Amino acid sequence: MLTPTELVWLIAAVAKGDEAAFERLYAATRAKLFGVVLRILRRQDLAEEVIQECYVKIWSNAGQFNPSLASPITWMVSIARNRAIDLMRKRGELSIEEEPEAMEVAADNPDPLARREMNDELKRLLGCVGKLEPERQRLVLLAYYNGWSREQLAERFNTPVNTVKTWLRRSMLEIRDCLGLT
Amino acid sequence: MIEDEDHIALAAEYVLGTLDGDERTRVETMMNVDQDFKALVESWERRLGELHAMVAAVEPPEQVWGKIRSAVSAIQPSAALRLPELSTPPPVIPVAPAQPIAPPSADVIALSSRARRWRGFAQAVTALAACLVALIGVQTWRPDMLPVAMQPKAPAVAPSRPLVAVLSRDGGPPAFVMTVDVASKTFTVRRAGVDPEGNKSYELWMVSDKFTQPRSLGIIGKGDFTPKAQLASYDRDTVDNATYAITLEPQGGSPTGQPTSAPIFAGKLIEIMPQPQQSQR
Repeated sequence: MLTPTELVWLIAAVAKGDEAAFERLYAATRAKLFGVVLRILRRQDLAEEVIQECYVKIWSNAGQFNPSLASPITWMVSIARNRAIDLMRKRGELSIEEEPEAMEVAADNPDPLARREMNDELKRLLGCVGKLEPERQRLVLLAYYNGWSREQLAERFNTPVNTVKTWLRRSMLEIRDCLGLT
Repeated sequence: MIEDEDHIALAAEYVLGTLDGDERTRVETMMNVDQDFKALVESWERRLGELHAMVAAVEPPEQVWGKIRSAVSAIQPSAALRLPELSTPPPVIPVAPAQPIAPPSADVIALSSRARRWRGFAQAVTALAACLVALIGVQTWRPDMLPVAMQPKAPAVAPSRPLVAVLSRDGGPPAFVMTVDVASKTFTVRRAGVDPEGNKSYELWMVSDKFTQPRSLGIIGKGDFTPKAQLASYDRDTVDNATYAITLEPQGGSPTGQPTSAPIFAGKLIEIMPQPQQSQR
């Protein structure tokens, strides 16, 4: 992975229509973005479709990227996750019981090797997530990594949807307070 | 917008990904009209986005790049939206000379983005609009063909070259139908299946990338039809390409001149038919 500064530079060049820069940006970020959407969609064909749409959007919207507001990779990951989650919601919810491998994915811990990539912001965030009750930590991380809806989380946690809703709300507000977000 | 806990939690859950499809659409609509809320969502994207670091990278198949490259070869990156050189953070985004908006500012970026989103939002209702067009056309030119209950209860809209916008929520059933007479720049808003507003007022807004803020086109009356003339000061291109949105405001309309809530219904104008030569009967 290139450094954030290099990625910002590439996105700036893409905004000017530089196709070579776009190819380098793709090469530097495709595996991360594909990993993110594949984990949510759990289907290779859908993940390929989403990743294509996602890079087309990155090409079109590169000029809107504002390096003072976002890091390049979180900006790109947001585009990819939003596409993947929209597709999931449009396809309708699958029960997690209909997808046995979903349970395995759910049991996975996030990739421990990547911990080397941890920056200070991530450490802070994980510190705040770590202050939640253990069950709510899992709730928040499963929601983020698997793109699960409240209904799917309710099924996974064997809990009414309204309870999940309350947990999510409180958890996010606690994280905000912990991070000192305004 | 006041950043209360409801909005903070809504923005967070949008980014986390737990909202259902309708809620996601609503959040995206709110982001379009409320810059503070948009900033709130973006701050969550920045914070939670760091979690990506722990997702295992997976190489996509090689043919994906070929498809992306051929898809983007037809698309020019938006020329008006140029990123500044890296040496000058935080950036001031320059605006291409062709862009008639002044002064150049971050608003331009937000507006282009907003317009694009609004366009997407409006496209969602286009298919539905196509169905309605037939009905409206018949109502306008051949009301006698319809059952009495479906015939217009007010004088038919002057058919010089009508444009119609079906205002709906997320592509759902039409709530209001707006018919514009291009020649006279008058328009009529018809209630088509919307809950009564109680002691509030529905207000119509025009959203265009030519304005920095939505422009009010006035309050929708309580009757079935509300005729209006507020488009007179806008040029044809602006009228044609704007998105029309309805918010629920305090009785008598927004006290600030700007929407105080997210739009509930929205749509864009479409032509309902060519010059109506076939309308004589």
